Formats: sequence, structure tokens, C-alpha cells
Amino acid sequence: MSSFVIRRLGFAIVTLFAVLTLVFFIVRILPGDPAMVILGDQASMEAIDALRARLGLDRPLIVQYSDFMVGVLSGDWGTSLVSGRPVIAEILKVLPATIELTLVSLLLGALIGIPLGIWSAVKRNRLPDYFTRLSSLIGLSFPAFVSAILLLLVFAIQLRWFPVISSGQGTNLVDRLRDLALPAINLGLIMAAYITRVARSSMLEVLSQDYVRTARAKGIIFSQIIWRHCLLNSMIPVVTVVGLYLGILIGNSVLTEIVFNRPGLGKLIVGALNQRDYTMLQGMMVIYTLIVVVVNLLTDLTYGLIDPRVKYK
Amino acid sequence: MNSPEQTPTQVYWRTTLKAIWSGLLTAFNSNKTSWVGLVLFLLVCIAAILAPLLAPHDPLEQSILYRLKPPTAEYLMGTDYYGRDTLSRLIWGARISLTIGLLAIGVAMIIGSLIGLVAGYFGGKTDIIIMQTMDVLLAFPSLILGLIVVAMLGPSITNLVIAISFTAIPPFARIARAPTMAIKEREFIEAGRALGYSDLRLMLGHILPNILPEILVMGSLWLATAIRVEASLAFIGLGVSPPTPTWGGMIREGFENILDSFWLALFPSIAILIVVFSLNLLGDGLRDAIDPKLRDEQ
Repeated sequence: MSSFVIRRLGFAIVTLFAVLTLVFFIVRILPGDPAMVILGDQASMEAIDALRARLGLDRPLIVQYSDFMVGVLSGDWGTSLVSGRPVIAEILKVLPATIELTLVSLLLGALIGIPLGIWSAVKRNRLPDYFTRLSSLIGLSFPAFVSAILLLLVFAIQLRWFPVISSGQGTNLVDRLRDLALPAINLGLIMAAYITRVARSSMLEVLSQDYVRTARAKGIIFSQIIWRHCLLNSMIPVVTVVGLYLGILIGNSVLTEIVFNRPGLGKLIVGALNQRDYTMLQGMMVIYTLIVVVVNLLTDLTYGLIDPRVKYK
Repeated sequence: MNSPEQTPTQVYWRTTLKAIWSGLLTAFNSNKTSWVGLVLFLLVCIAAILAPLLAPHDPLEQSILYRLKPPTAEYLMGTDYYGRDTLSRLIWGARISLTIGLLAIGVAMIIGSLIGLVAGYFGGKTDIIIMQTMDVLLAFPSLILGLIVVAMLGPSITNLVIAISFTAIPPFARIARAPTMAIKEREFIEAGRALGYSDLRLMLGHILPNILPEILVMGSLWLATAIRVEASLAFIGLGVSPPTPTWGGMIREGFENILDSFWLALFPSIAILIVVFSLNLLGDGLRDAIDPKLRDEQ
């Protein structure tokens, strides 16, 4: 087991290194000069040169790259051009809100998606299956901001069950849950659509295995076969997919946070874009990279825990 | 019998195109829901093409007297903050969404498929390096990547196409690579090699036509994603600049007036949902039909 963990950790470090390199080059290689992007088209050459010097963009690329890497690893991600505060502090301030939202959504997605996918597989090519397949297809066709606006219209504006603005600052548990409810339902339902489809196809594959046929031939009750023999086996692709769909979840959380005006990485990145806060944008890309790599690592390790065969490959 | 005036190249391409067409037709016929998706999508395309004829008003014409009017007989979907007709803007907006989506996916499909072909055909270190790079790109959230690229390049149709296609290249490379690896071992490729055909000729002339149906099917699914990403970027404020109507931009404007004029956000939301759903229905059905593992489920 330890060699499996070490191998996965090594792979994660290499990926982290590669994606950080990509982040560095994306910001610098794209035709738009960051200094010009920040100051606008009307800025004088002197002002642009001064900002380039302040940001260190006038130094050789290799020096910038080594400084960037050292900075990222030592926790010095620069200071925000707008607030003047360290980028890492600004990010850490809102990170818990985004983590809270994505984790609750993921849990909600799994709680809805897994049973629905299994039900759909068991009732294959019958009414519940058609219903589930159609609903999940509709679910994954929703751009997150569209579903968020519809939820907001119905449950916050018309029915007034939830607050229109989800401040995420509620002091007691009930307030926090009310704040979290609509954004989490929005992301959770979209995740559920993805998870349902994977859970269904994975369960269908497991149900076609010889050992399931043998168990049925031996007269074991069908529900027992599902719970005791099929469930865990069918969960392996689901876990992988949850890791793979993290990108979608992150993208959707940005849109959800904007619609519900909820603090988090999404609102921070859009604010940085509007105010052309280049150092903040770079920091945001670093944090997204870290999140993606860490979640992929956790997915791989979970995969190893669920399926013992993976460790020995 | 082929007509005598056709050259062998013409015969080859005619039979190849016929094979791709019949492959897609079989896939369509084995999954009827794909037809529903196709018809829905074509209706939207026709509406976009005939926008000048179908739109009842000029989408840019402002009228201060008719600001934020609810749906009426004259303005079927109401008017926006500047008194512009929502229905006309919706019809014209379809052009932008479809153009950006189709161009972005076209570019991603061509570049991604070529990358996948090269990786699968040559294998070894070339394959490892290319696919590791693709995996790194794939690991990054596509909306965030698109967001940064558009923010750096500036919002315009060309830059949106670049940003969205950039995020969609890795999946096409993955889709093209796997079947290439299987097909390159087949006898007809061996025969081509024995006849002294170049790698380029084998890849583009003999392997690519065989993997094209799969790539096209994935194209329809990714077109849905591209349209969704374009709308999301426009909603964030990184779409084509106003006053050009885009669905995402219209929802953004509608969202600012959501408390008193909810229809402004509602109608473009439904439009996006219909297009994305139709493409998902189309692509999903076709994918199930051409996937041998899922074929038994039909």
C-alpha cells in the first residue's frame, strides 16, 4: 500500500509542476501584455513600462519562472494590485466558503445520483429508466447560471423560502443552512445528473457479470445481490468520475456564486477579472491547480481503497 | 461499376464519404431520440439563418417609451432595459452562440484529432509526451481556462473561439488516439505500408476516415459544451461586446432586472437549455449507437 501511495504522490507532484508551468506560460505567452491589460489601451508607454518593471515582467523569462515557482512553493503569491493585501490571504479568506459549497453539493449529488442510477439500471428499459435518463440529460444540459436563476426566481423571489442573497456569513446553523441551500441544491442537482449516468452504466456492467448470474441462479434475493455484491463494485467508476468532474463543479461554482452573490473563489476571480488584478488572477490559477491536483490524488487513493486490485497494478 | 472518367482518388473519396455517411445514418436509425435532437437543433439553426426574416423588430433599435415591457402581442417576449425587443434579440443571438460554438468545435476537432492521430499512430515516447500534455490541460477546469484566455486576449468572436477551442482540444485528442492505436495494426494499413505509402497518407487517408464517425459524434456533445461555455463567459461579462445580442449577455442584463422583469432572463435561459439539450440528445443517442459496449442496450 505504501508504495502505491508514494507512486501516486510522485505523479501528483509531477502534474502539479507541469500545470504550474502551464499557468506561468499561459499568462505570459498570450498576446495580451498583462501591463497593457491592467492599464488599458489608452495608457502611455512610460506607465506600461513602469508597471512591467513593478510586476517584474521586464526580467528574463527564466528568472521570472524560477521566482514564480519559488514564490508558489514558499507561499508568497504576490500582493493584490487592488487591495494591496497578500494574494494568498485574500484567497484563504474565501476558500472555506467555496469548499463548503462544493463538498455539500458533491454529497447532495452523490445522495441523489447513486440511488437513482442504480434504480435506473435495475429497471432498465422500463419507465423509471426512461424517466431517469431523460431527467439526467436535462440536468446536464443546464448551464449552472441558468438553473441558479430559475431556482432563485421560484424559491427566493416567488415563494420567498430562501434568501435572495446568500451571504455565507450566517452566525447560527439554521442561517448558514438557509444561505447554503439554494446554491448547494443548484450545484448538487447538476452533479447528480452526471453521477446518475455513471452509476447507471456502471451498475449495468456489474449486473451483466457472471458472478451476479451465479448468485441469482443460487436463489439469492435480488436486492441482496445489489446491496452486497454489486454496489461496491459499481462504485469504482463513480469515484473516478467525481474526480474527473471536479473541473465542471469548479466552473459551475463560479457561476453559482455570482448568481447568489455568495462569497467564494468564483466571486474573487470575477472581481479580479473586472479590476484587472493580474497578480490575483495568477494566484487564483495556482489555487485551482492545487485543488485539482489534490482532489485527483485523493480520487486515486480512494480508488485504491475501494478496489484492492488497483494497488498492485 | 465506377464510371471510367473517375480517378482512383475520386473513387476512394466517394466510397469513404459514403461509408462515413452510412455509418452515421445507421447510428441515427438505431437510436430514434437522436432524430429528435437533430430536428430541434436544425430548427434553431434555421431560425438563426433566417434571423433577418423572422425577427419582428430590429434587435438594436432602442425605444425609451417601451422599456421593460412585459410580453404583449407586439413584443411577444417583452422588451429590455433599453426598450429593445427580446424575441428579435433572441433570434439574432442564436447566430452568435452557434457561430462561436461551431467554429470553436471545428477548430478543436481538427487540431485535437490530428494530435490524437499522431500520438496513436507513432506510439512510444511521442504518445507519452503528447498525452501527458493533454492530460495536464484536461485537468484544468475548462471554464476557468477559457475565462483567463479571454480576459488576456480581450472579448471578441475570434478570441472566444480561440479560448473555447483551446479547452476542447484534449478530449478530441483522447477520442482520436484510442481507435487509431487499434486501426494501425489492421491488415489494410500493413498493406499500405508495404505499398510504400507515407505515414501522412496512411494517417489522413486511411485511418482518419475510419475514426471520423466517432469524432463527429463527440463533436455534437462538445458543441453543447461550447455553447454552454460561451453563454457562461458572456454571463460573466466576457462575451461579445454589447450591443450585439448574445444569449449569455441577455441573461446577464435580465439578471440585473430580475426582481421586476423576470422574463428578460427567462426566455434566453430556455433558448440555451433547448439548444444544449437537443445537442446532448443527438450526441448521446449517436454515441450509444456507435459504442459496441452500449449497443446491446438499445
